[in-house]
Amino acid sequence: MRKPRLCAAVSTALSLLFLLPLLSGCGAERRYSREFYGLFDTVITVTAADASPASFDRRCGALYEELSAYHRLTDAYHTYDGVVNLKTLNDTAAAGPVEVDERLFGLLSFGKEAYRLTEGRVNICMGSVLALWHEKREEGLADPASASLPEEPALKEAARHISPDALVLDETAKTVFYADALLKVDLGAVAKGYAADAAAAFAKENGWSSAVLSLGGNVIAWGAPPGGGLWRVGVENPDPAADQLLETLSLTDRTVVTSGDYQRYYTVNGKNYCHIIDPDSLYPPAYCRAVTVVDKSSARADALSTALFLLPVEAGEELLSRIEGAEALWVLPDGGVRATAGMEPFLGG
Amino acid sequence: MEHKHTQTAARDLATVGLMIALAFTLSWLESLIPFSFGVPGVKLGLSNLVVVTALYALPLRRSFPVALARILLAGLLFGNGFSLIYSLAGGMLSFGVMLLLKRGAFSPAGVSVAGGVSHNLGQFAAACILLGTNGLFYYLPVLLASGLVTGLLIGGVALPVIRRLDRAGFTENGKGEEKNG
Amino acid sequence: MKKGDLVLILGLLAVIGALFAVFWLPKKSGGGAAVVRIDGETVETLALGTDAEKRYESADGGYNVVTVKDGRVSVTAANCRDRICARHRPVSKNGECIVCLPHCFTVTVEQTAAPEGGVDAVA
Repeated sequence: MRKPRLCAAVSTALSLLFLLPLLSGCGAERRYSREFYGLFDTVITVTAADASPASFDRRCGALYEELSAYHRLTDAYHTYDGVVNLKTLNDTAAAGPVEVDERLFGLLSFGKEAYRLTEGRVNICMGSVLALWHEKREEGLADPASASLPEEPALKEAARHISPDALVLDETAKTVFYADALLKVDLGAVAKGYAADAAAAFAKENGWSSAVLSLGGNVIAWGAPPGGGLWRVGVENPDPAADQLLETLSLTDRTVVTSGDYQRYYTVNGKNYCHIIDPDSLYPPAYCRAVTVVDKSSARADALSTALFLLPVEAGEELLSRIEGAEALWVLPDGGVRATAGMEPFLGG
Repeated sequence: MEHKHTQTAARDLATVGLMIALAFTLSWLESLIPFSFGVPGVKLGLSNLVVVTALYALPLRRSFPVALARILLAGLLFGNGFSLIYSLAGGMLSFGVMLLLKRGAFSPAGVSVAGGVSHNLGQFAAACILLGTNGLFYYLPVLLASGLVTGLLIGGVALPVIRRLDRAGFTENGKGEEKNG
Repeated sequence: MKKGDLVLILGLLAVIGALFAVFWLPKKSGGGAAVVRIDGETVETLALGTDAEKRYESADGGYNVVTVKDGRVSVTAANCRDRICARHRPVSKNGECIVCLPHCFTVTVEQTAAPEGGVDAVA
């Protein structure tokens, strides 16, 4: 009987066909990781699927260049030749409209949009208040014994110059004008998220179909990791006594951003004061120790994590209920954890 | 003789169809049971029962398609691209090992144990090639142990099944000799 | 059950037992390595299974002292301004890391034999 032999031959051939990619390892990409310093005042780590170390190196270089551009544009402390950046604006935009790179313009526009979206919790025009806190924090870290809080009158005075209406953006001319001479823009709440989105878009186009990028904890992940499954993103535990990771999220094509009271803080008389300031009270809030947002847009996640940190949990849940596609997880002052229903699929890595 | 030959051939074919369907059903059933050990690759392997039985009840040219069909169908319908590669690696190695041991001093239970262990070994090898070996060796003893246990359980069920098939006259066709060409 | 079955099973059990002994015992809390990087470059890889204490110099006279004890790694001394790295709790799981930004210094736990708890990034 010829047929059975033919069957056996065909099935053997078929199975070998499937095993071939396995044996040759073709198409099998490996995981490569790298960390960079010098941008956004933090450490950037990238883990991506790539064909070889050389190819990974090349793409890392390109990514670094792309991120450097955003770093320069959002730098509040240095200016760069030929670049109109945040420092330039804070120094000169009160004198007259200044034309800016469309990327910076886009970020500023997003900042104003974030103010509306978060009902005023996230305000990129709060620079004058934040500067006072920044100064005191730096002093407090340099010499902990003499750490002190900003003076009330100074804070109140600075708070008179934080209206977003004073930030005038001309869409057509791409210019920025400060209608208030004492206005200072601070992009801390949105810059990393915005840059992360841009970096991810660039990296995808540049050949990384699967990667996870962390800009100092602002994480964005896409594609499927080599070997299948999902990317695993840990949520840092605010409690210094416990394990570093509170939760592990399994996800892809998402961004994860955490705002916490442990990220940048200093201590005055035994009490910690973190870097996120409530626009109304002008002091750091105490609603939660940290809040982690999972969203599709990193810019929005960055803004939302700050906003939710500045709101009582119930109000935060209420805000989220009116927004599509964003989920959150809070760590309460007593250590308890609360999450939106939509977080469920990502939990339990 | 001609008549008996056709009859057995027809019966073999029908058996193959039945077994593939059975294997598929068991795979589906298994996909319904949330069986998670945190270690990828640890599963009950219910459909292995059919493969082991087929190995004894059918000639090689018929039992191999059963094994292959089970992997392909279940992998394509219940898994993703990657799981298919792991299944193929494990399934093929397992089948090969069981085929070799069938003639030896082992009962279907022992063969099934070897099959279970080599199935996981094959998956492990595939993972090593695809993922690199970092940290993977931690899983190896767990995988082999689970392969042994599930192989034993499956073998325990397969044993009486095969004995009954022996008595029903099925396995004359499958005791290693290719009687029908 | 035939005799061959018993031999096979016992033999496999022996092999499995040996594998457990080799890969599980030395790893108390996920042995593997603590990878020390300065400026993104890997400077040294310390085995978590071996207690050690090492000092690493970075630019501008900076230093960080890394201590490995009982399968966990921590930064026990540093001359950076905020000493966030030194205040950090000891870490031991894949992906966990201690960062000292002023010194561009990180120590990351990698290649632990226990992949559970491993993460690709921390938010």
